[in-house]
Amino acid sequence: MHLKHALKDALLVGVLALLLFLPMTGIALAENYSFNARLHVPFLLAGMVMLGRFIFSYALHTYHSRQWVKRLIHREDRPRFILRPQRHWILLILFIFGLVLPFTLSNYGLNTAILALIYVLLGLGLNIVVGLAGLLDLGFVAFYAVGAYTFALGGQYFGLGFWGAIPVAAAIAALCGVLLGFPVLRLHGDYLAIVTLGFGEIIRLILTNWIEVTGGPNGVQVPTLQVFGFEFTRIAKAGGVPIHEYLGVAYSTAYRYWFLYLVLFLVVCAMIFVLNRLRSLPIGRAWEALREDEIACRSLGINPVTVKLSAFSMGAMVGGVAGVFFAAQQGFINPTSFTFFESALILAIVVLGGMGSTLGVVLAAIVLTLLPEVLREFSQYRIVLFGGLMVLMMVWRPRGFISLQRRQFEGAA
Amino acid sequence: MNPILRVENLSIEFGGIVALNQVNFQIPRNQISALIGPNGAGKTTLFNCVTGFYRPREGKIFLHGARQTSELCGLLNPGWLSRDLGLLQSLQARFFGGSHVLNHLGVARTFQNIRLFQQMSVMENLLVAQHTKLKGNLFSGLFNTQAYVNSERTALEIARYWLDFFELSPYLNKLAAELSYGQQRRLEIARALCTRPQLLCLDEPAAGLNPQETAELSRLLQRLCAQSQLSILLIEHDMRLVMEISQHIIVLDHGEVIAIGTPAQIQQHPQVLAAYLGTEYG
Repeated sequence: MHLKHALKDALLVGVLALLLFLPMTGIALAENYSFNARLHVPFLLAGMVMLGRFIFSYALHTYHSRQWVKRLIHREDRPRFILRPQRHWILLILFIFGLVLPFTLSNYGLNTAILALIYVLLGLGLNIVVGLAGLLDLGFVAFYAVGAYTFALGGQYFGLGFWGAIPVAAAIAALCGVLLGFPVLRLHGDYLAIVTLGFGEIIRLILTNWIEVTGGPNGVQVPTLQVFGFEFTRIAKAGGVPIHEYLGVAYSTAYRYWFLYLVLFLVVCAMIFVLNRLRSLPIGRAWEALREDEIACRSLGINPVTVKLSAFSMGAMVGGVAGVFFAAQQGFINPTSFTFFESALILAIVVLGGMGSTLGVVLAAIVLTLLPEVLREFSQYRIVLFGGLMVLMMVWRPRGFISLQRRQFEGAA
Repeated sequence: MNPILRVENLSIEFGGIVALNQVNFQIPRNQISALIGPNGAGKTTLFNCVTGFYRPREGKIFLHGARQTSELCGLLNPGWLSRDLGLLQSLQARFFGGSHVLNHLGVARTFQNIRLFQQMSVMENLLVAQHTKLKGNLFSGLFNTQAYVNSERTALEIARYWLDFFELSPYLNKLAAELSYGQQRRLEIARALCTRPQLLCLDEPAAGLNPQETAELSRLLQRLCAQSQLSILLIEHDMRLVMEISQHIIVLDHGEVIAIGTPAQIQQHPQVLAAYLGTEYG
């Protein structure tokens, strides 16, 4: 019964494949502009398709394979691992590990680690907007660019230093977040995604075309990193003291990376702490409530306008800070670093980490930045791999692999 | 009668279809009132006007709160600068809708199709409802200042009280989506009550409940009205429930009020019978 069905199915598909392959692969252009028939190729291909289809449809009709498929696509809506707050020691070990890590890495490793942390920060920022507040933002890279350019241009025109750039970039990015937030207040879902996508492109196009100010496609030099008058270059460039001379040690390019890594690491840790705390604060709860049901929010007296704007500006702020670190690491930035692909990558981090799960986002960011480094040889298939991972994630664990336990409340006394 | 809500000449239409036509009625204070009528009579439309989700074309709705009387339609449809709202709120109401303001005045509602925050825990649902009552901003919360801790403690106490009242205490850490249908209905009422309203609007609270759960709900609502300073307005199709618990009934048909009175009066009213059962002479 199954056999007959599968055979019929395979035959039909085989004929279709043959029809397709005959003109496509059956005729080859010869050297003297004439055609040679290569009929064995389409028949071979169609035969392969037929065989594959036969195996597939026959297998799908057996009981066991059906059960297997059912298990495969059975989606579980909750993460498998829930980290309870009692397990603080795990976090402590991770923290110490993170602090020690840079001193064991080569410059290449350090660079990759810093990049990974930057993406963690970006992921955390977008997680506020997409994961918690449920506002699909496809233009998050705009805030990243604003942060990076604030540091570079601020340094160039106003003598802004690294420490000053962090709060200024955060403020300007937050302002941009509000600017984006206003026109999209009434939009949902796809429409919102399109507008945010456009916003990301607008920022990139401004950076590319406003040549007098931003340097356009030629990019802009980021001021040399200077901390309390110390510099990380071999010879002082900005009037400070090179740190290796002050400490009386040999010069190494690693110092600059160590510094960046450690500051970034502390910022990321602080951000994780703040985000986790936010989730049990009124504003974090309001974001989540907005994601679940905006109309119910309004009926409870929550002003959706302020809640949405606060989500946009908080997310943008984190993105802006990440931009400062990116600029500091690169030393030179231009608009090609802020294309739509970056937005898609950050969104992939949030989706892969599981919407709204802080820990998942951290892991996903690390995986997605390390993966391309590990898979250098297969770099052509990187995007395919990303896509595959995203599909699997959406099918199996739409809420992420791992999450911190929700706040537990005590009952009535 | 000492009304909590007074509706005057309320009219609204959607693309030429008159949903409400010159509706006038009052809702007595501290009583349960019911709004009934055949399907499509305009009950939910009226609800959406009272709770601020629709802006009526004409008419006025007065809420006689404990402290002040407010005209709700004016708040939803303010000029550029309304004295009651202030500049920012007026602008927001003009451009993005300001229905949340009505909740601050003491109107809370539930929905015909339950609208809980499904992926949040039961307790979190009740805390979201007290969002505007929780003191403090981002920083006082982050650093756990005394004012914030105190206001959160009050919020938790109020939430626990209503959880207890609606017999949901054992489930406080469960996700709302994990509750049974009847429990979800009760949680939605509890959530509305957490906003500390003066007028509670329930849109078909007994829809989808079995007879036992309906009886339970009826008992809870009567207790609720008796022991707290609360007026309840409900839409319901379950006539036994309506006649049992409500002291005041308003009947709508084709967007018009056809009868107002006590349950006994409504049961005898010829026009109501005609609307529900049809007339003998077409």
